Amino acid sequence: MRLLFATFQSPLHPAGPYARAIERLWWVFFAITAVIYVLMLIGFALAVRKGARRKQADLSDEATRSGARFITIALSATTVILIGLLFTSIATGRDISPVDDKVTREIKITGHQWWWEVQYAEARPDMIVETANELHLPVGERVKLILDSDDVIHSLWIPNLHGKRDLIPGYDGVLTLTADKTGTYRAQCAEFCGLQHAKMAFLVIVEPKADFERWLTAQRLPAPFPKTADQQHGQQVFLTSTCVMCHAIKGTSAGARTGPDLTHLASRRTLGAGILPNTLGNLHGWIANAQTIKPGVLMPPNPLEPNDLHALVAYLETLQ
Amino acid sequence: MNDQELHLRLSATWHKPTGLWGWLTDNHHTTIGKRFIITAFVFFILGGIEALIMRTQLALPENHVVSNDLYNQLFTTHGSTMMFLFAVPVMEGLGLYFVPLMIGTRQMAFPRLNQFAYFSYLIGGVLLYVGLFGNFGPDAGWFAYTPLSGPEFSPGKRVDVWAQMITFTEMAALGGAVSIIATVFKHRAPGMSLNRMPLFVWGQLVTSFMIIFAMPSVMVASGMLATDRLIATHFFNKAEGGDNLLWQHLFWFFGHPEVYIIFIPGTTMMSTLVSAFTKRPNFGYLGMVLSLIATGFIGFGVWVHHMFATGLPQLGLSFFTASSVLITIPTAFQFFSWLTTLWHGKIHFHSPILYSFSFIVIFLIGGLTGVMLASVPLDWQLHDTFFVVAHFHYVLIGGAIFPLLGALTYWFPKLTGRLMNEKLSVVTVSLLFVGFNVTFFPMHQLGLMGMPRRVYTYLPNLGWTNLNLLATVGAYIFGLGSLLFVLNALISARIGVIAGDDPWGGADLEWATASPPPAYNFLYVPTVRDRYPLWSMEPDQPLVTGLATDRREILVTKLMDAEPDHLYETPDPSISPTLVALGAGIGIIAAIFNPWGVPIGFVLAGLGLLGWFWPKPPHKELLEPQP
Amino acid sequence: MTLTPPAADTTPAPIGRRLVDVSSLPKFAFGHRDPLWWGVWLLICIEGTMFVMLAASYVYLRGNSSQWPPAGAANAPLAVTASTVALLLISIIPTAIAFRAALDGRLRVIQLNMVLVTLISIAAAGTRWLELTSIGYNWNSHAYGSVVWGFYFMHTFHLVSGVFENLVFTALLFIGPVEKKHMVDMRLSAIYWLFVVVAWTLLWGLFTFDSLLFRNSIIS
Repeated sequence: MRLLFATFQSPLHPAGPYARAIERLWWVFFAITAVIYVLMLIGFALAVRKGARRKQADLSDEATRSGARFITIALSATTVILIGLLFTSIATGRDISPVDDKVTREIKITGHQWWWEVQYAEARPDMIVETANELHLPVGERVKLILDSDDVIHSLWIPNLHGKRDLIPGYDGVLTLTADKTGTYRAQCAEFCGLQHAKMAFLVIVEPKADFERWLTAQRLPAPFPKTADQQHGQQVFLTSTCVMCHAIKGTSAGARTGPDLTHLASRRTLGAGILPNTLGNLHGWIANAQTIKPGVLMPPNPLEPNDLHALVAYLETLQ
Repeated sequence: MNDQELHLRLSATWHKPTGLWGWLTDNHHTTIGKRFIITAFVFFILGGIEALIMRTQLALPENHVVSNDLYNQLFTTHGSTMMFLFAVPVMEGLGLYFVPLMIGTRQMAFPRLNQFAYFSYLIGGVLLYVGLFGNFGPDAGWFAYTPLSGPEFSPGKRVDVWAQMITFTEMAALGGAVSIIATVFKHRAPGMSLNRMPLFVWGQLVTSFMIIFAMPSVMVASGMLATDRLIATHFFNKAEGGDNLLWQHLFWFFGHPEVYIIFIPGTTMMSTLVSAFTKRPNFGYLGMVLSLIATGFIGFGVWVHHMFATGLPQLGLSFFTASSVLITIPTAFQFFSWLTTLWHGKIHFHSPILYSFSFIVIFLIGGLTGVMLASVPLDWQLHDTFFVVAHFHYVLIGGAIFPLLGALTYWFPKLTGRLMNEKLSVVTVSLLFVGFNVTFFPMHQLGLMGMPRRVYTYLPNLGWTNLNLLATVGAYIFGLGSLLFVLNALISARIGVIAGDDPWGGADLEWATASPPPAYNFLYVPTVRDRYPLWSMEPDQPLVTGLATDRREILVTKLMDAEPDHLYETPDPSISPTLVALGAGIGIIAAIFNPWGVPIGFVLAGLGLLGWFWPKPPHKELLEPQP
Repeated sequence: MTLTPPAADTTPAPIGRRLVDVSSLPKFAFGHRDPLWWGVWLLICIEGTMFVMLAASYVYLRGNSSQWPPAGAANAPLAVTASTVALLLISIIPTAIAFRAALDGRLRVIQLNMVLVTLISIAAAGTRWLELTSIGYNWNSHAYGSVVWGFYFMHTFHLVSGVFENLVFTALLFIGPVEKKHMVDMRLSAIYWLFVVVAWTLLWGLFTFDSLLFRNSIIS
């Protein structure tokens, strides 16, 4: 049964204590409701067989009494089971609500139409790491996610780690998470948010603490200065075209915040909010006309000369 | 005067006007009820076509049958159609048609209000589809969450079409509800005390009360949304002190009772069918009635379970979990009662009872997944996934559509005078049953595999393809079944077997008159001595005489025990209610473009109302001025 | 129920059945015996629920605001708003007298009092106009403005309908002919008018005495 359901985006394949608690609760509910269902269907089948074989309806007082007896017993059993389920659920609910103790890290996630902004909080502003559509977590640590939205309501749902929580503009939602299994998990927006609700995904990468720290340190660096002439040309293309209206690359003059921060674009695994592998070809296509890949996306088509486009991609590929 | 003469006189008095003018002026509850049912089925077909287009789009990953823009319009229109233009109106239509027949009266309490309700509904429905076909159909979901539906993120007129459609359909539902309550309370045949009313009538009564207290909430909400969009009010604008969760509270305070407004009539049709085809009164009548009432009350206390993921305080959530779990108990009672009735009855296997059997097998799954969704932790995982899509289709199709189709098959002879083709009905119910489960069962698993709702496509490498393809195949089977039902109805209405007054040996008063009923319903208003009047009718059961034959006079009885109380004249055909609906319609539609539409509609409707209520030339009993 | 031969224009007796002859029953009834009484009360339930939902929205929005009403949001002068409420409340007296008089059909009393109700309601509509023109903020100023204007819009809608209904009704009382059963309508119209009065008194109380009702409010 587990095998049937299991994928890398499933609540039944938990990679942390919160999702595991919910998974356990699911199987409790599943088992009990399945038994109830089977019992009810057996009762139904027996009633139909009995009713079909009668010569005529039984209107006797005895029938009324036995019917009343059955209903009383069945209803009492139902009530007891329901109350049992209710308390099991409330107990699990307590176990998985957000807590503040032992939280090692605060991460702010902001929903945008249609991508995710991820910000690792630090006391010093220059230490803040900003990325998009990718959440790196150290295994075994409890982290606190602060959830907000920049436009409409989105919903953050990493099924392998926890249930979902809405990102409502003006409300700071809180979710605490612990991942205890390394791996890559997929997450997708769960609240209808407009034209590209379907293509608003991101990856959660749970890695050993050392790997995580290494990643974090790398992310703090500004973008390297382009080396080859082609890459330098690419940077010029970036800084002199419409790219800078929306995107930021730390270490350059590009500082706009409408679109994802691109300082470490090349280190990310996907493009377009978790929908394309981050390859050279895909990056070409995405820049040239993202509308064909993700119709309605707020990134306009960029009719660049072929060599400008190549140079731009070559530059972006250096943003490790 | 013999019966034949009486028939002629009553026919003349209760004459149904014909032709276009007749269509615009008639207010017979049978005419209006039938119209509601037929119009609702037209919308059902449209909503079904939308569903098939969506399923075709989702059959394969990255499919290009429709664009994302059109897909969003389609799922919004599908949801809005099925909730506002199909389920509620069809249930109310059946109520308008059958409540007066089942309680033994000649007309509803406020026929002109029903007439107004119908035209209001029709205008609202047409508005929505003009929007869809004109590519300005609403695209923010049937729940229209702000701020997505607000002026900033949904410019243009799409959401306004939705908001005004709500106004129309809610006016229609409210009008029908007022009329049904007053009819049930005051028009019952002598002897039909409250505790002798058919369960179907009880269901209509409870549903109508729910409509009265639930629908105003969404009217207020959609009004606020419309003004936010049109004249820049700030109800849902966080920057100016508004609040987006306010929308969700107002919407779901209506939205969850709405589900029971659809489901309660479904359960009472179940009760009707189970008792009719076992030839046995329903077990635990009092318990059944109390279950309906309890469901009606608790239904208002569960709305927050649609908002578990918004981050409201834990304690509050637990309360709503508890109420959402508790609401299962009255329904469980009804389930056990049906099983007991089947057990002790003599089952006659005709197609309507097959629909009830489908209800039991299907709805039960929906009920049990509902218990899962009432649990906050499980809801956090399952909310807004395909699991929920599966859940509420199991509840609404299983709990309302299957009994509805069964009840329509059962009542078809009363509506048309002919029986539906039995063999075709058996094929239909089989196709629907198989098609339904093939469509929606895999969706549970899709939800558990992480597939969110309301997505126009999905990526190929997520493992969702096979189950989606399967669901699409099922949808076509279900579509075929629905088509067969409609064809069967259309054909049988013309060439079906003549049914006679009472083809099933039914228990309730609707079978005590001709099929279809004459314009005056009953030659003599009957009296009642039991809950299942036709099964306990004595040969010398008294009949009511003395009602006027030259005007549309109704016998009004007392609230509790239905003792004859006074006589009351119901209005003749009139164009005024239609004009009021039209006037209000012009105003409300104009208000999409300009706020002055509201006062204009107000004045136009007011003029229509003058004609509506203008006193007729008096018959008698003038009041002498006192010195 | 007696077995009397039915009048010519009423349902006759079928042969050989027991009968309930209703031809001698009255043609109208007051109070909950009357279907229209239910219609009016259900209408009041619907509209009352709408007012309650608006008031609930007010309380909800207020709870989520740091300052309520927002700085500088000046309601219409208390003297003006209070005179509307006072006029509405005064109109209860003639309404109640006419309501009583309708029971035994004292037409003169009803006419006199309905004229009074109509005049007072027109006066209330006049002071309402003054209120609307002296509110110190607009519906698009802030959420507070939206919801209070929402109160005004919804209620003015009812007030204007009520004035219209009073006018037509009073005119009909003078034009005649007045039937006994119109006394039933008279009483229903009075009930509806009372609803219009009570609804506004409560809404007005809510936003006028906001700082007394909600102790935790921040006073600017």
